[in-house]
Amino acid sequence: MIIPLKDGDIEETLNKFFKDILEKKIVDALFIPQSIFSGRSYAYTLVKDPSKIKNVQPFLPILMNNGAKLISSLTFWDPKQKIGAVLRSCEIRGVIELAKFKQITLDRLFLIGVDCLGTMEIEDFEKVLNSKEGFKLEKFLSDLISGAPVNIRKACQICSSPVPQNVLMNLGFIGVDIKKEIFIHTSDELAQELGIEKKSNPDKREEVLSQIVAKKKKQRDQFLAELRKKFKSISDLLNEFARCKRCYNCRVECPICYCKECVFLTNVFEHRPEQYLKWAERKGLIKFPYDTLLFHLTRLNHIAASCISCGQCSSACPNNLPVFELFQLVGNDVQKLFEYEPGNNIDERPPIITFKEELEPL
Amino acid sequence: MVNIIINNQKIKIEEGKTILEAAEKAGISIPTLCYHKALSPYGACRICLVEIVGGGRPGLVASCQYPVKEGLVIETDTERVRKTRKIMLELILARNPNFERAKEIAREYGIIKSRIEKKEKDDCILCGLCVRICKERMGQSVLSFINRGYERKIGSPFDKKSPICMGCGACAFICPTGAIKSEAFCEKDLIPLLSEFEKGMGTRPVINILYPQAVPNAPVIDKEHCIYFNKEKCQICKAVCEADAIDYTMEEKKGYLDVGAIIFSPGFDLFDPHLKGEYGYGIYKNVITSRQFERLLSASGPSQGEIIRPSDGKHPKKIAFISCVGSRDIVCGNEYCSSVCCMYSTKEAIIAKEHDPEIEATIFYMDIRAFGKGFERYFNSARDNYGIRYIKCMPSKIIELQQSKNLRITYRNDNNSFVEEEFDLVVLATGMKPSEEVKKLASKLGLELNEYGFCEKTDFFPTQTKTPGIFICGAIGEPKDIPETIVEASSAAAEASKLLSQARGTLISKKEYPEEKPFIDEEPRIGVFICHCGRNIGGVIDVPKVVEYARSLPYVVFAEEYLYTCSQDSLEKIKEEIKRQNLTRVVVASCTPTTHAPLFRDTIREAGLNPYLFEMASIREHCSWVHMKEPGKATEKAKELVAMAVAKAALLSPIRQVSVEVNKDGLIIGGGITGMITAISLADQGFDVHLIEKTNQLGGHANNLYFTIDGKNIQEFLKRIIEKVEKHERIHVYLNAEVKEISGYLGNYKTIIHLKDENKSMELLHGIIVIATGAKEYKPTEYFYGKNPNVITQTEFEKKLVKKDISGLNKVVMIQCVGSRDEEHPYCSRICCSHAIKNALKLKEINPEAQIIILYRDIRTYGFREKYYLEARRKGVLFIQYNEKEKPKVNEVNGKLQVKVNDPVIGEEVIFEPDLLVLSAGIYADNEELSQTLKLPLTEDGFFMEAHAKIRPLDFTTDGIFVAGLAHSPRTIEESIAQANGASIRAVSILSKDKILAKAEIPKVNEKWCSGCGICEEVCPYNARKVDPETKIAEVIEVLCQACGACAMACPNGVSQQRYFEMKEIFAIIDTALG
Repeated sequence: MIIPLKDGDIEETLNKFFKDILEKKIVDALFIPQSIFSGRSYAYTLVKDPSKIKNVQPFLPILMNNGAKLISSLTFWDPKQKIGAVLRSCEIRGVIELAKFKQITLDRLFLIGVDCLGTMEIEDFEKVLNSKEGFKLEKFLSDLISGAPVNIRKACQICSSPVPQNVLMNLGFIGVDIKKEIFIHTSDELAQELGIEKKSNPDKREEVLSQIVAKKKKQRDQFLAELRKKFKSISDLLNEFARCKRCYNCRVECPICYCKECVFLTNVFEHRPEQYLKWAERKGLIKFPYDTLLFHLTRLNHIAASCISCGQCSSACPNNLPVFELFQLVGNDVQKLFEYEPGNNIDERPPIITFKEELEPL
Repeated sequence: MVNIIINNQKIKIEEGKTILEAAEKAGISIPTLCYHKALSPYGACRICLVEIVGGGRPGLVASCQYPVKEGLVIETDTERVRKTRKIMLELILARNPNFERAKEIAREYGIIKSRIEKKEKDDCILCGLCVRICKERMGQSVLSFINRGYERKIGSPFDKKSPICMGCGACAFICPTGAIKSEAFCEKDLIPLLSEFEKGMGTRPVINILYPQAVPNAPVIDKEHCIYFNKEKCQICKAVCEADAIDYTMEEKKGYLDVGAIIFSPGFDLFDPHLKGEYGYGIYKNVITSRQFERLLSASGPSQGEIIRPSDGKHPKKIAFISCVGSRDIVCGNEYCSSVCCMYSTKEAIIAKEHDPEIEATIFYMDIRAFGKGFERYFNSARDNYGIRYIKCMPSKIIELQQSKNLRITYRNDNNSFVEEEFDLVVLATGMKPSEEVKKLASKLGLELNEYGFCEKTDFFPTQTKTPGIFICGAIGEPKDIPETIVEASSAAAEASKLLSQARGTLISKKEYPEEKPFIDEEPRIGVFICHCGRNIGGVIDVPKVVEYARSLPYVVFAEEYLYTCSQDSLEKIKEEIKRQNLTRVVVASCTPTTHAPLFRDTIREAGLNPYLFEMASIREHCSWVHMKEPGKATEKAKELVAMAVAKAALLSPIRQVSVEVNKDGLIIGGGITGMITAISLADQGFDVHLIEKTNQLGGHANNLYFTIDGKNIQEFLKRIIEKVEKHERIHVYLNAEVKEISGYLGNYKTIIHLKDENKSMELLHGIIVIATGAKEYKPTEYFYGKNPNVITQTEFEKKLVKKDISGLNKVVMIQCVGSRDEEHPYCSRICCSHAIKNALKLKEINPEAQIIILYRDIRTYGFREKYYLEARRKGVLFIQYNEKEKPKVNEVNGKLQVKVNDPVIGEEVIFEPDLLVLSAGIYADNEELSQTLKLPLTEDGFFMEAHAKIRPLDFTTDGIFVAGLAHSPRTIEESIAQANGASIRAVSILSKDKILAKAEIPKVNEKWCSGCGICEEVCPYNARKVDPETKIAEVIEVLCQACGACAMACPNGVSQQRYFEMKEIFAIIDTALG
């Protein structure tokens, strides 16, 4: 289905659409990115008052947080209200995955997905924003579709899921004329309630999508092949991760790392001076901060099967470590081994809680 | 006592001892090749040379012969000693370059090969051990040194076979090189002692442990063959036993026990296959029994699990199994079916194929009786996945081929023609029978035996004999498989417990412990107790060095060695040292914690320490036993193992085991015969029972049954049982009741039931649950059932027979396996064959002229039911086999039924037009809902899945819930009653306790940091982990936890940590291991 743009203004059209959703009580509250403070940035907002829907920005190409993590803090305890959440594909995958680990009350969520062909690192976005031309959403989106060079995040470059699954409603720009319309996919009942005209889907959407997905998949294979060359031995790992300053940003940003407190912050990894000295004696020298590679490997051990490839870990890393790369490489193998697709199906049981008698080796 | 110094170590030792003995006492090892504790020293090998450097005439002496005297100063490892030993080793290796022990010592001295070439023809190194043992211990002197110098050798007088040689084999036993062959000196034929346990497939020594898992696991001396008991010689065992445990004066003791009940479970014997001469057992070497084959397959068997055939030790490739040897055989007097042979033959064939995939296994059978739980699937898999060939034929003879010793079997194939086939090995599946000895014992007990010699039982109660107070279980009542035997064992225990419930617990004495010392988290004081385990550890590992090392470890304030740490005197010493040294942690380095940790824990508890302030290092199983040939490295590893244990011990904290009170009431779901018998049994044992039945009457499926195959009146029995249940003051019956909700756990359940009659809910509190929900008869959708009134099920037919509503019934066709053994229900319903024959016989009784045709796949009248199969055939009931792929076809022709089936005997289709078609409808279970409520697993066939198919047939992995009757698997009334009784005693094992003590090593939860993700809940196999839905914090249901550690492993941030295996402790161990 199609929503025609009101006066050719995508933002106004979206504002009106989401206001409707809230006003018509399709949801009790709406969790949605809006630009605040003069449109230079945006943040997720939880809106109860429809009049506060002024600057919704579901397509703005930045991802300050993976929304799944925010949704978890919102719905870990039953919110007892229906919450509409406007999220991208990687965020929806995070929501599904977290729900498997009881961190999200999925029953209370009305998931609204948006097409996404990539987001930018904040610095890069700032640069565009401050450039002469400034940032133009329509141009950005059409560049993404046409394949014109756009500086998007590494994770987005190889993401082959531009359209979210497991949602009740989907808004999109792929395969439509974004100067005139927005694509919407939802149930007939909802469409009627929101007064959306029932039209057949835009002809080109599927075709454009499949081209983009094929291209991204190819990029992903290349990316993995390069990584395989890069990480060959434990010393490669040690080298790459030597810069880690143990700030734990990757863990904080990871939507899957749901532990209330990381084991690395507990007394298990609190060592006494004699212990450090003993290690130094054994090895001749030890690196400080200590336990950094062990930290990444432990996180890898916990997360690899559930990693939904949002890339927030690398975006959050101040020292430019290849965290996302490592998780892609191992996650890909682990997920294949256990025939597990994280964030895909709420009924699929994560490998850690599944007993299998035999496993075919890779 | 004299004082000497060896290697700077002061030693005090009794006069008259040798230097070697003194060194051994001090833990200094001196190599030797000709010394034996039980024999006089001889000084032949000169390897034990040591150097006297003071207190006597200086020089090299043989330490095995040189007596100690005051002030001697000895060095065992000087340059001179080493040099001389090297030369002696080279000389010995020149005589026998393959002598392992000498090579091993030589390696330590840097000798790989002797420089001198071997000239002697034999392997003898002239150590004289054989000469000495024959003379000193056996008192015979058959052997002596002959000639001198270069010509010197060992031999008997005139090199002839000696008439005085007893053939004891001691010379060959003690010979270190294998050079001595007893048969060269002995006139007699040397006959090896055959192992009784290996069924003659292997040999055994005179002193032996009956079999690896024997209880008690202690060796016994076979007096009949012991030289000491026959000739008062030898006594080597006494000389070498370090624990001084040999006592020749032990006598058989007679004792008297006052008991209130007797359980008679003497087991069974196997049919003697010699009696079936046509199979040539005992004549043809390659015809063996299934039990012998079982030993061949066993890793602990005579060939360590290698399948070799007796005639030539080769691997057989074609193996034939012949079923029913001595079963279902009127000629040899055993007309009953032994119930287990089909399955064990199948099992043996599968294991043989797993050992060697090239083996072709063929099973000759009459009917495949795969009637037990899961057996049909097993049989199908054997045939379809393992490619085991099943041939329906009883071979009438076996012929051995003279050259190859292969065996030729003639049999009839599917095309009704006779074929000859050659096999490498034939295994006879011998049946079960009571032994003659047991029969005598039974008559002493005044027990009645049946026509086959098995114990008679009271009607319906398979573990009650006709003598009150004496109960039976196992194969003495009827041949049966392991699970049924285990069930009966519990059932017999329940029967006895009913009689003895008044006396329960009166003979228990309680052990008193001193108060536990308060645990103060100050610097640990660790004591390390290191065990020699006789020679087991001390013979390989340099224990004194390990002790010395242990003393250097952090927090260790005491370390000492003990010959046997687990001996009573050593345990006393541990307690003394704990007090004297004020130890706060104890480490024992010895054997495996599996067997010995409880003993040591108890010991330190007796000394006032918490039993979990204890750690063990396994320096036997993990070290000395596996590194026997590398003593140096083994010692280093032992040190590390001790260091790891000490590192963990330093971090240990006390564990107090949690206990919960037990609600003494039981809940039984299902008011059929199984539920009622469980209720009566529990109530008679003194416990209150809530019996829930969802319909409006008790009795369940038995309400539709009237008589058993052996003529017992079911309705009369049912009436009696219902009356007893209704009158029993401890049994509370709830009819028309439905289980709404069950919460809680072992010892403390809360169940909400809904009473439909009163339309109200009520709450029941109870400690255990027995599931006796039964099963249902399959409602056929095939063969015009429900469409033609003349098509009915066996149960419906039974009712007709009882009401004598059978006029005009002259021709009856029965079809077996309707709703069993098909794709939808790939299991056997066990009872339908007997049901059909029972009804057929009843019809014949009423109307002997009636023609009855039973269309079957395999007749599964196991055990004594075989008798009725035979009777049915004798009375003219016609049995026609059909196979799975060609099921009988039923048509209606002008309202008249027409049954077509292919008769394999005549090879043609036959057509019947019966007056009545009776379908043997199978049994199916509908347990889905209850299994979800209780989180209990179901089998693929929908029956409840027990904790272990063989040895825990009535339990679940979740403690406190039990299953009996048809909810478990299809079975007869008697078998259900055995399970009902059995489940009751399993329940009593919990209800009889006031409190249940949880395991110690259960997880603890750091609630503050729990994310409530529920991984622990999902991975727990015992339902012992739960996330509280209110707080979202993971809990441990302590009494259900079996301390497996799965949750602690899966918890991502260490919120759940297993006590005694906490992350800190594990890290400390790893860190120490890394050095």
